[in-house]
Amino acid sequence: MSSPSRTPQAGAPGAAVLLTWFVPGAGHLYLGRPLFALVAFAVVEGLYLLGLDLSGGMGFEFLQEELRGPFTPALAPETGNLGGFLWQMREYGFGMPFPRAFPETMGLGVALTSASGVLNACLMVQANLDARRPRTERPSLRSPALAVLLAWLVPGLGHLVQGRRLRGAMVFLMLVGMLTLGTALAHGANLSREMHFFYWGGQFMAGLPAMVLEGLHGDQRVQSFIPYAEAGLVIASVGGMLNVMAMLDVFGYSEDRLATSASGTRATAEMEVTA
Amino acid sequence: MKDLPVHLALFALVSSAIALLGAFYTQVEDAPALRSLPRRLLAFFLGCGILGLVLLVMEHTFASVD
Repeated sequence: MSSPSRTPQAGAPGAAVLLTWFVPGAGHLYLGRPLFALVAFAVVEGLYLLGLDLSGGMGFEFLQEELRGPFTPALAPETGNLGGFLWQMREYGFGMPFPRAFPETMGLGVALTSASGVLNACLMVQANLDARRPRTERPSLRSPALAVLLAWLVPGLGHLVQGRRLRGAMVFLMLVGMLTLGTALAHGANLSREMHFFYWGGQFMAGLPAMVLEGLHGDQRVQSFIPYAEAGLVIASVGGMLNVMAMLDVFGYSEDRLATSASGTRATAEMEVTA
Repeated sequence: MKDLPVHLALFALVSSAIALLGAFYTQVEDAPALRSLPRRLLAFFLGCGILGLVLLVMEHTFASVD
């Protein structure tokens, strides 16, 4: 009788995730995938640097004076790329002690630094999975991390690529509907990171729909009293935050399928060896 | 108070989204997730109602100004 042998993992998942959090790609370098590590580092940090360039590093100057503390900027999506975030805090911080005009490309710049944070979070998911795989197993392109990234980009898309059409459609309608309704109620005032730094972070988790809405309606000036401005702000932000739950659902489903197919393959191999 | 129905309608909408995503997160299959939705909604409404009541009592007790 043969006992099931444990295949050695590629590395410690916790270490791979932590390394990736500090330096994008470092986790994969630790797992012995230097090419992937290099590409990941170039893409994630390239996005962050481009964002810093476009925004003049003024992203955290959006925070009002009384909110500027050591931990408050850490609630921004940029924290997903901890190395980039710490670099920005060290080099630019909260800016000059006097007010100055934001560059015209400010909106695009902060969207890119934030996107870099979310992208690195997906990379951390990938590092975790790659660490748990046996060293001999080739990494799959049908990765849960990719499904999670798609689920962030468009709410429901991650479910759709998993073949869960009804769930994907319901998630899309519900979350994009909330974002749109919130924007309509707040007359677009909810889309300004300058006015609503933390709520903006919540809305950003709805991915492209939030960015498109901001591109279309983000620069509108508030010219009159908006009766449901706060309700709109909360609804849009809750819509974005709920997409994090949808992303977790996509990850859990993908991870289960991956584990099931891996155990099936192992069982078949063991049966062949026994025969 | 005149726009209370609008606020309640918006609350119901957000509650539905929270309950739906909660159901999806805990149930892999769509059918059981959708079946559990009314129960989840009821629990959510009751929980929020109790929380609202506690807040009102606290406000009345500690923060009311004559």
